[in-house]
Amino acid sequence: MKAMLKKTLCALIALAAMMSTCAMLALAAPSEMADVPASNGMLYIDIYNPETVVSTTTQSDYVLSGVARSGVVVSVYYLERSTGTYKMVWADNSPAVQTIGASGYFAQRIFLTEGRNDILVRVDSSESDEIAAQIVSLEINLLVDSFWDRFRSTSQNMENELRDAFR
Amino acid sequence: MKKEIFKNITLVLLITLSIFLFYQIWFSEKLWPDGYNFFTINKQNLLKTIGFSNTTDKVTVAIEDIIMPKRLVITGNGKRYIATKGSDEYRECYSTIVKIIANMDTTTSKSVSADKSEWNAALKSKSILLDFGSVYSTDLLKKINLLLPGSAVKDVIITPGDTIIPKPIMYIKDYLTGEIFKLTIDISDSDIEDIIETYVSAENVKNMPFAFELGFDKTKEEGNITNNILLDPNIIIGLKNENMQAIQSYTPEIITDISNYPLVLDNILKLFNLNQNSTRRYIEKNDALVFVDKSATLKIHPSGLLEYSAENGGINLYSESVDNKDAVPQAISNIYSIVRNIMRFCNVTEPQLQISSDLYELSKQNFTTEIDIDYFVNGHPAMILNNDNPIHPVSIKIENGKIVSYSQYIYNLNTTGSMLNTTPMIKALDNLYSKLSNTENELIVSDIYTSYASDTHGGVKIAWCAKLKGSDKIIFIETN
Repeated sequence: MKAMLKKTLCALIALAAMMSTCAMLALAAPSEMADVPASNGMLYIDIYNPETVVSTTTQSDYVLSGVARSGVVVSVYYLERSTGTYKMVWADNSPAVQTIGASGYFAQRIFLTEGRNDILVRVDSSESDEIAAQIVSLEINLLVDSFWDRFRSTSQNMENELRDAFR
Repeated sequence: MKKEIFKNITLVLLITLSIFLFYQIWFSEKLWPDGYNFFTINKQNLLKTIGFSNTTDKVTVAIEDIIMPKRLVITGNGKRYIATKGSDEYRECYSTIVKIIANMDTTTSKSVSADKSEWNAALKSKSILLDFGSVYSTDLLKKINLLLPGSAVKDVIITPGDTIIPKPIMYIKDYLTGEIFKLTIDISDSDIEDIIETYVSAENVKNMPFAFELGFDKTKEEGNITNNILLDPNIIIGLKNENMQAIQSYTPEIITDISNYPLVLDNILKLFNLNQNSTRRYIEKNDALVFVDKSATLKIHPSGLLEYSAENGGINLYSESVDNKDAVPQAISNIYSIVRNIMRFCNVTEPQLQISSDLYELSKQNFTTEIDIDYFVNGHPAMILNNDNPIHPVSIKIENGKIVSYSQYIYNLNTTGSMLNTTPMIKALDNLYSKLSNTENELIVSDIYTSYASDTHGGVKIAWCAKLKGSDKIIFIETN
């Protein structure tokens, strides 16, 4: 009888632990996503940097910024091309998950790789559970310095030619 | 025989001990806690006569050691390095910049106008920003060989030039008109390049964006969500927690026990044109030692606060015969000398000093202003907490070129060896908004920085301090 009671108690504790883990997973931003998730279409964040959805930069150490509603949870993902999944960005030894404070400001450091970088910003409102509140997809192209130097050199040559032509 | 030697040694030891104890009792210990203590006072006089006094000679401070950038922001290769005043890196880098400034001939170079986008582009590309922290008149900057266009300047950018103009370019923003000037410097650009490469190539240097790079300086025109706070475009956003060395403060014994240091008192009184013999002296209920003459009062609190006020006259900061162009630099130099001499007289380890007030539109004929000076420790200001309000350790009120009010907190600031952690800047901005969200005015932060905040009981906290546009008041934001 005593052993039976002990077993039941253990089972109940295990069940409670499983349920709480499931609840936490549903609420928190997942560490990876197989696809771009659906969102409820509400607007919770405005991305300030980059200014456009498709952008180009020469900085591999990049800072994503924006303004969001206070209290929402913003997480940032990058597309891992080899697996086709969106993985959560890690920077400075911590995952890119932030709860937005009263100022509304949001800034997240990310490291870009040469070429195209597909970045996904997921916003979870505190009330939502499984469906993301807002999803913002960004394409940031990183140009390496040598490419940039070539571009500058070409543009300077063109400028010199134009100047010579007008002399 | 052996017994004789033993006796002699014992006797010598006893005599030595008695002399030592006699000295201790009569000269080191006070006969009574306050007032005139004959032996201790005469001990100091004797030490002064034979050249072993703990008081030091007065120092004069050159204007080049006062008007210096608060920090140097070095940008290159997508990274940014900040050298704050007082650090070895700052000294090394600034000495090179001073040499470049000394060699450049800005009088022959003609400045052209530039726009805000060029200014921002210069800050984003390879450049060195000289952030003076306060606004200085260009006349004052001439005294440090910086001959600049415009009337008042806070920031100067030096870039190594580009492929089109392979000469260093200086960008100067006139604080009063907002006009930006671009000046080509006729020297080799390699020195500037070298400084930049040296500092940004270190592995631990990261990308620290300016507020304008993140769009935190303006509200997005077609945005769905508006910013609650706007930031000055040149504020650097620290994304991570910042580590700061913990410090402790303590009031030097000379101050807590000032009445027993008549020579120190004499030196301090002389700085304020007072004399021990001609002033009335008494102790207030709060234990402050007060000196009063017919027009001025000097109070020295045991907590370390020194206060001076003059009703008529005050302390002249420049002589009547001084040239117009030299009056303001001479006055500032004299102010610094007073601040530093007080610390030297009281045997205080001198921290870096930084003027936190704007100094422009001042002249010999019109020199009425208030000047605040901060102590800098490990590159951070050390403020005083007065009822949870941060105040500057040195505040001076000047009327017509004369000091009419002066206050200075005299204390030692030493690092303890342990480290403290601040919250990231965005968290501080959240706290600031929570604190001020009830105000109707638009919140524009003109400056936000980490600071030490010392209470008068020796406790030193670290905190964020913010200044709003159009206000000199410092808002204290505690770190969690």
